[in-house]
Amino acid sequence: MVPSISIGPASLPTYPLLLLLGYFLGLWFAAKVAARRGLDPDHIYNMGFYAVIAGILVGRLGHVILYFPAYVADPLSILSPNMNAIQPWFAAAAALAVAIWYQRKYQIPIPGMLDALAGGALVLLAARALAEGLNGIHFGDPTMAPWAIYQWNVARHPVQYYELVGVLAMLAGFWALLRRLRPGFAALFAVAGYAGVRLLVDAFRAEAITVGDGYRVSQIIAWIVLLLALLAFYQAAKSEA
Amino acid sequence: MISKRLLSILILLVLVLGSGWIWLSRVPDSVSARPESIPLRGHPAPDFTLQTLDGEALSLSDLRGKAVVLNFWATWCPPCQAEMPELQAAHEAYSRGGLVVLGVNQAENRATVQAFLDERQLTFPVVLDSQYEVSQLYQVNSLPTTFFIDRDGVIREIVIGQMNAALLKQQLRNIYP
Repeated sequence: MVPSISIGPASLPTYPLLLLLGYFLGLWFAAKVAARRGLDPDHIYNMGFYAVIAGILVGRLGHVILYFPAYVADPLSILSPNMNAIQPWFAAAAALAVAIWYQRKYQIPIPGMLDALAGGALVLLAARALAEGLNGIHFGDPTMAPWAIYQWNVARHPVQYYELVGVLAMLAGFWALLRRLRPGFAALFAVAGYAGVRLLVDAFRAEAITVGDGYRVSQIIAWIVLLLALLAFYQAAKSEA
Repeated sequence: MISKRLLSILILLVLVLGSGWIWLSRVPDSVSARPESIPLRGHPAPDFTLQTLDGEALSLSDLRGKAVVLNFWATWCPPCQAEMPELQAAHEAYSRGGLVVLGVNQAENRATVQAFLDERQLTFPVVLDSQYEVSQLYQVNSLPTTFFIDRDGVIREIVIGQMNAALLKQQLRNIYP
């Protein structure tokens, strides 16, 4: 595992670093997809930057509201660089609101925009899978397989890397099919593809939320999402015919 | 677009093979009931034994039944120094109610640590991780790092970096309601 990397005297944690890298790589890829859909790539960059800035500011504001007495006692701590001091729901709501506002302001066609964002999301998900692998998060079942990796002192399925390979394969498929699919359907392909990957690889995770006789909830959700996405494709094909 | 026929076959395959795969991937009761003791959120905190500044042995398991704020720190680390007053305040406010603020000093000698604590009038217990054993066990790669452990010994949150008072209060709510 590689939970941190050293650059000079600084030790940087790989998890947030990879998520940050994934976000900006995802934005770059989303802009490429947008260009293929005939949209202005700058709109994607702008939307991404505004959304993340709004998320951070409003997320911190939410934290200040909820823990107001502590911030009154030490007002400068509002500027704390610790990203844990953020209310995630405030941040997510603000980012979403800004993205919707931007789309409406510039009248960006929704199907093409969804394709672009779905492509970017696949890149971010790939980065997250790598980050989880390097940090031993959401680790795999013990195994004797020759490709097992040691995480937490046990030889395990490298389930995070299974997910990474699966998402990268979906990303390649997404790019290859982009021109052949109608606007909006590439996003549906990304949703179906990611659901398919999770349906397959979550079988090898060591820990899971279960229902009934040990059924994994994440797999059931992925299975339903995959079926719904395929049904949507079917409906589209039917209406075309 | 993809043909209707191909999609029908795909849907049928996902329906049958997917449900079969989910059935095959069930988690046995014996596995789901035993979360592993590793330094991740939602897992039992790994046990360790270290010496306090008085030279007595202290194990994390001795503190079972109490909420624990396990703070990895060093005297040379400015963010560690900055959050010490907040940790001391939490110790003073909640130690009688069953909260333990436990400092784990990374590889410094007893005299240096004692002088630092005396100078700043810090009274919460501190143990010495002279050989980085516990830091390695907990995968601590940057200071400060703080683990919030509930009364059942389960890690509820891990905070890397300096905490302000609000963040500390927020995390305490998870383990010391």
